[in-house]
Amino acid sequence: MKSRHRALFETLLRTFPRHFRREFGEGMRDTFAETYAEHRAKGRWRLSMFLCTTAVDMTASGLRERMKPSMPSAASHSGLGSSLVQDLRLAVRTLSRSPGFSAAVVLTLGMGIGGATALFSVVDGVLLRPLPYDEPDRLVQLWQQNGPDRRSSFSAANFADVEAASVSFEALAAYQAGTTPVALQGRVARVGVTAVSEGFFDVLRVEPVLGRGMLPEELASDAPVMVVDETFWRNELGADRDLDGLSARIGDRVYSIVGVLPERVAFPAGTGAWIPRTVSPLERRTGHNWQVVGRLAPDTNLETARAELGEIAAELKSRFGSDTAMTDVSAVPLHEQLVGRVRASLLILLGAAGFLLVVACANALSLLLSRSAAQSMEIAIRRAIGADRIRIVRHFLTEALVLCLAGAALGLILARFGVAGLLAIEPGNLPRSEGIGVDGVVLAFALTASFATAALLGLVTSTRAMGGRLHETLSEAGRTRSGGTRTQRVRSTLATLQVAMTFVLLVGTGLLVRSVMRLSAVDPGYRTSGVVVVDVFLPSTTVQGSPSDVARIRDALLEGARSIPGVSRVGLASVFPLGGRGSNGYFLVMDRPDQVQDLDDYERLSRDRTRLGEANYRAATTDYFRAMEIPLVRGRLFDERDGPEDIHAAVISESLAERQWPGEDPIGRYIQYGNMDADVRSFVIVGVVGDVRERGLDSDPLPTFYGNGMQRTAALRGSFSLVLVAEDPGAVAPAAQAALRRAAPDVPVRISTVEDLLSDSMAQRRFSLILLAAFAAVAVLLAVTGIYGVVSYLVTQQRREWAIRLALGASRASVLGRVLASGLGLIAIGLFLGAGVALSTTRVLQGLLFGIAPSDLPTLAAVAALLVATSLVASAVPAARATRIDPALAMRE
Amino acid sequence: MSSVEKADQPIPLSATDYHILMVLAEQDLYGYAIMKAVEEDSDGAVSPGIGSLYRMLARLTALGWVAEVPPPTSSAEEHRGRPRQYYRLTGEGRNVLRRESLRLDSVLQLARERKLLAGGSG
Repeated sequence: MKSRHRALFETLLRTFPRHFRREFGEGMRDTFAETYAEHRAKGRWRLSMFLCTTAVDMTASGLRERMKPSMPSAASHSGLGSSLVQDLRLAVRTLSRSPGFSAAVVLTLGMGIGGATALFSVVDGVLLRPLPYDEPDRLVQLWQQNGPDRRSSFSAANFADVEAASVSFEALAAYQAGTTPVALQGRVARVGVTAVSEGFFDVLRVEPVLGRGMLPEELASDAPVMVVDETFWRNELGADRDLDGLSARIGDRVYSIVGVLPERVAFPAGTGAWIPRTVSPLERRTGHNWQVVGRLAPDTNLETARAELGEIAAELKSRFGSDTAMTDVSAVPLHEQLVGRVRASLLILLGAAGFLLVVACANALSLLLSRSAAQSMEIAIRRAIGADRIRIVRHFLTEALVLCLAGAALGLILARFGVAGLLAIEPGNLPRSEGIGVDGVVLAFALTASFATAALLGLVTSTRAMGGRLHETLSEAGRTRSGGTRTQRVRSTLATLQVAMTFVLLVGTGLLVRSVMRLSAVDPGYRTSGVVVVDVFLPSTTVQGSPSDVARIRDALLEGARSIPGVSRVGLASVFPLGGRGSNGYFLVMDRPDQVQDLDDYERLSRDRTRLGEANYRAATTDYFRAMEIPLVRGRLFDERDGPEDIHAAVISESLAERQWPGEDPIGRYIQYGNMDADVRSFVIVGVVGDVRERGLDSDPLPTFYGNGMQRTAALRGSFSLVLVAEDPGAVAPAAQAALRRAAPDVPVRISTVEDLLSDSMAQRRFSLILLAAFAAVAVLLAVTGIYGVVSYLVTQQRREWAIRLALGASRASVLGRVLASGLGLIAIGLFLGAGVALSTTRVLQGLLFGIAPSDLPTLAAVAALLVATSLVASAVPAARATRIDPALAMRE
Repeated sequence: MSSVEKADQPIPLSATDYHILMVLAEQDLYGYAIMKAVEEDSDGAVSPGIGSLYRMLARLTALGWVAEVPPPTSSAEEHRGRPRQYYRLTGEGRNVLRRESLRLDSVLQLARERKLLAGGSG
C-alpha cells in the first residue's frame, strides 16, 4: 500500500472518537488494507473511487459517532466538550432548516476549497515533497559549462577527470538515458533504458525490492546484467518473483535481469531498466554524451563543492586548451533540476486558485451576512432575555465551522476528481507527477483552509450581528431589517473585492488566450496538415552496425511506406521538427573537398576561426522538403547526380546561409562536419531552403544543415522519421503501422500526425490556459451572483424609497437607471482595484505569454467590458423588480 | 437518540444490520470477511463502507447481539503479526434475527397473496 494512502486512512480514522479507535481501530486498519488490495488489483480508477467513497464514509461515520449522545465519550464529560457537541448539533439543525442557503454556501466554499486543494496537491507532490531518496538534499546534478550561458552533458574524459580530482562528493556517477527497443520473451517493446557508470546506485542509495543490485565488478566491466523498475517488472514481466533465467535482449546483447528497484526511485524519469556501462576516458573530450549526478560528502556543502569544481574545470581547461569546451562545472540541487522549470507556472496556478478561494470566501461571507442581518432581531431578543454573548459568538462560529467542513468535504471530492482531470489533460511534461494525489498532507491543507475560513466567516458574521445597539435593533422591529446599511456596506465591499479578483483571473486567462491565438498564427515554415509522421527507432545492433544495415532498413521502410494506399509522397529526415531530438555542432568550411584527410588536418584548419560555423546537423531526402513544403530558395535539391560514390550533397537553411556567407553565394562550398556521425566524408552545398521553426512555434528558426539522407546513411543511425503525405492522415495511420511492420518486423515505429505534434508543442500553455479559464469561469459565476445578491438586497431594502419615488411620479426608466447605477458603481470600483492588481501581478505570467505584453491594454479593456456586461445583466434582474413595485402595497408594508 | 430507540424496539432491522447478523449466523467472521459476505449475500445491494461497518459492529456489540471473539482455533492464521478480531452472533442476536426473519416472512407471505410475487399463496 502506498504510504500516503495509509496516512490518509489514519487521518480519516481520527474523525472517530478515541475510545472507538481504541476498540475498533486495528480491525478497521486491517479491513482497509484488505479492501485496498482488492481495489488496487482492479486498477487505478477503481482504487480512486474506493478511496473517495471510503473518505466520505469514514468522515460521515466518524462525525456521527462523535455526535452520538449515548456513547460514554471522553469528550462529553468535560463541560467544553459537551457544549461543543451541543453547539454542533444546534448548528446542523438550524442550517438544515434553510437547505437552499446552506447548499449555496457549501457549494461556493466547496468550489473555492476544491480548486485550492487540487492545485495544492499538485504543488505538494511536485515541488514540496522531498525526493524519495535517502538524504535527498545532498543529491546534485552536474553540468559541463562551456562558457557563461552554454552548458552541456559531460564528455567521458572530462567526467573521469572531475571524478578523480573532486573530494566534495561521496559518489559521482555518469549515465546515459535513452529509449531503445528491448526484446522480452519474444516481444519487442520500446523501453527507457539508462546505462549507468559505477557509483550510480551509491549516489541514489537505492536498494532493490527483489533480487539484487548490480555488483561493483559488474558495473566496472559492462557485465550483461539488468536491473528493472517495479512498474516495468509488473507490466512487462508479469510480476514474476522468480528472476532466475529472466533475460532481455537489446540488439544482439542478452542481459540477465537480476533485480527490481522500487517504482518511487525511477531516475532518470521514464527509466524502465538500468544496465552497466563503463565510462571510457578514451572518448574525445568534445563528445558530450554523459549526464552526471552526485551525492555531496557529509561534511561539504554545495558552495564548497561548486568552488572545488570550478578549480578542477579551470585546471583541465589550462591542461587541454581547445581540446575541451569545458570552462566550468555547474552544480544544481537535483530537486531543483527536476522541478525548476515548472515551478513558476505551478505557483502561478496556485496563486490563481488562491484568488478563487478569496472570491468564494467573499461570496460565502456575503451570503452569511445577509442571513445574520435577518437573524439580528432574533439575536437581540436572545440577548435581551440574558443570553451569554460568548455563547452567541460561538453559535455563529460553529455554524460557520459546519458549513466550512461540509465545504471542505465537497472540496476534497472535487479536488480528487480535479486532480484526476488535471493529470489527464496534463501534457506529460510535469515532473514527479506520479507523486500527485489527495493524501494526508493535502487533507490537512483542506482542513486548515476550511478552519481559517470558518474563523473568518464566524467572527465577521457574529460581530456584525452583535454590533448593533440592543434597544435600536429591538425598536426597529417591524420596519426595515436592522443592521441593514452596515451589512449592505460590508456586502458591497465584498462584491467589489470579488469583481477585482475575478478581473485579475480573467485578465490572466485573456492574456493566455491571445498568446495561444498568436502562437497558432505563426508560420512554422512547413506544411501543418495532411502529413503523417512515423518515428523509426533502430535496434542498437544497427546503431553499432554498418551503414549498409541502416540503408537496408531505410530502403525497406521507404518502399513499404510508398505502397500504402492514400499516400502520395514519402520523405525522410533524421529528425522531424518538434521532436526535441537532433544534434548540433561545429563545421569547417574548406576550399576543396579533399582538404581534410584526417583529424589532424581538421584540427589544424579549425584553428582558423573564420573557417568555423555552427548549425543543426540533419539528413533529409528531396521528398522530405517537397512533402513538408519547405521551399527551395536557391540552387537545387538532391537528385540522381548525388550517387553513392559522389561527394555527399547538402542543402542549408536560409538563416545559415545568411549567417555564414552574408551577401555571398553558399552554393558550391565544401563542408567538413568533423566526426559528427562517424562518417568523415565531406559535403558540397547544392541548395538553400526555407527556415523552419524546429523547436516549436514560439522559438526562432535555427540555422540548419541538411545532408543528403540517401547518401549520408550514417546520420540516420539510432532513429529517423518518415513523412507521409496523405489526404486523410487519420485513415492512413493504421495501414502505415501494418505496412511498416511487414517491411521491417524488428523495428518499432511511432505514428503521429503533424497536427498532433504541433498541438503537443502548445500543450504546456494550453494546460495553464484551461486551468486559469476554469478558475476564472467559476470566479465570474461567483462574482455575478455576488453582485446580484447585493443589488437585489438593495432593492428589497429600499422598497419604500422606490415606492415613494414611483408614487411621486418618477418614471420606471429612471428607477431602473438608478438601480443599475448602484450596481455599476460597485463594478467600477472593483475594476479599478482589479486593474491595479492585474498590472502588478500579470508580470509573473511573462514566461507563458507569446507576442503579447502582460499589461496589454486591449485585453484589459475586453475583459473589463465582459465583466461590466455580465454584471449589468446580474443587476438588471433586481432592477426590473424595483420598477414593478406597487407603491400602494409597498407603503402599507 | 435513534440507537436507544432501536434498542427498545429491535425490529424492523435496517437492511445492513439484518445482513450483518445473517452472515454471522453461519460462522464467526472478521471485518473484511463480513463486508464481503454481506455484499455477496445481498448481490451487491448492501455494501457498507469501512466506517459504517464498524459503527454498526460497535452498536450491535453494545446491544449485546454480537460479541467479539478470538479467531477460531482451526484458523491459525495471523494477520500483520497478531490475531484478527472475529465477531460472533450472540444468543440474543440470534433471537432478534429470528424475529426479524419471521416478520419478513410474513411480509413476503402478504406480497404473495397480493400477487406481487410469483408462486401465489399456496
